[in-house]
Amino acid sequence: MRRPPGLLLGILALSLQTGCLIWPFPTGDMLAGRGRITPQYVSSLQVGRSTREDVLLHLGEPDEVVDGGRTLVYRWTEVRGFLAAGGYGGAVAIPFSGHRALRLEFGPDARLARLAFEHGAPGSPAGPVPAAEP
Amino acid sequence: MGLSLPLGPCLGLALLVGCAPPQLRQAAPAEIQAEWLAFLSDGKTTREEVLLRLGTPSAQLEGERILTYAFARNAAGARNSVGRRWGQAQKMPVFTDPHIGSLVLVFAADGRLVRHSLVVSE
Repeated sequence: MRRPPGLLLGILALSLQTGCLIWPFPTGDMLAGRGRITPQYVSSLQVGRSTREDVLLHLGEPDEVVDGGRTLVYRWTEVRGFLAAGGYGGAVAIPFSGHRALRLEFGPDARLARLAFEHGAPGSPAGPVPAAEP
Repeated sequence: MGLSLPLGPCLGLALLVGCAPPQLRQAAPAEIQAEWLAFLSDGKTTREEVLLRLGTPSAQLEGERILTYAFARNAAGARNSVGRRWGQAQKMPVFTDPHIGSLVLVFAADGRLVRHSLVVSE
């Protein structure tokens, strides 16, 4: 069966109008969480000295309370960039999300024993975050 | 003769400006003394007064010693209590409004407020 040349020309014209763009820059949008926590902001919290109370007053309500408060976790998800594909009359953009977390562990005396920034989705093995970004 | 500008750094700067996500910060004293929080006074305000004025807290830690309230500000400037929604990507309940404030109240054994703070993002 022969296809009408108009249809083929239409498909060809449409394919020329489509495009794909990968935007590898943070847009500043938050997908989840109350806000980004920077190393500078938590620099006043000192391991061995700051108490759970100090941490809560400084960071607010945690997103996870583990082991009856022995560990507090603050999580946020940022847009790290997006993939955009567009055609004549339509387009779609898919954001790349970057999961970040700050995990704080306390000793039996309720003083801060460990503070660490992590990345990766909750439940996945977390890895260290480069020093340049939380 | 036209002005020659380095295109790369200019484009990079343009991309970075305004692209920082909201960051947590401590509220300024004036924000804590706003009308709806003006009743909070360390050493005087009781847990009962707080619960009557602000309602059910969004979280409580160390028994009832530390209470927290999460709230968002709408376009008219009014404050609404907010809760977490299930985040598909995070597989856990998360706040989805980036402009949520967190009020933290610490009480003594006698039920009086001893310390409080307001953490906001911007």
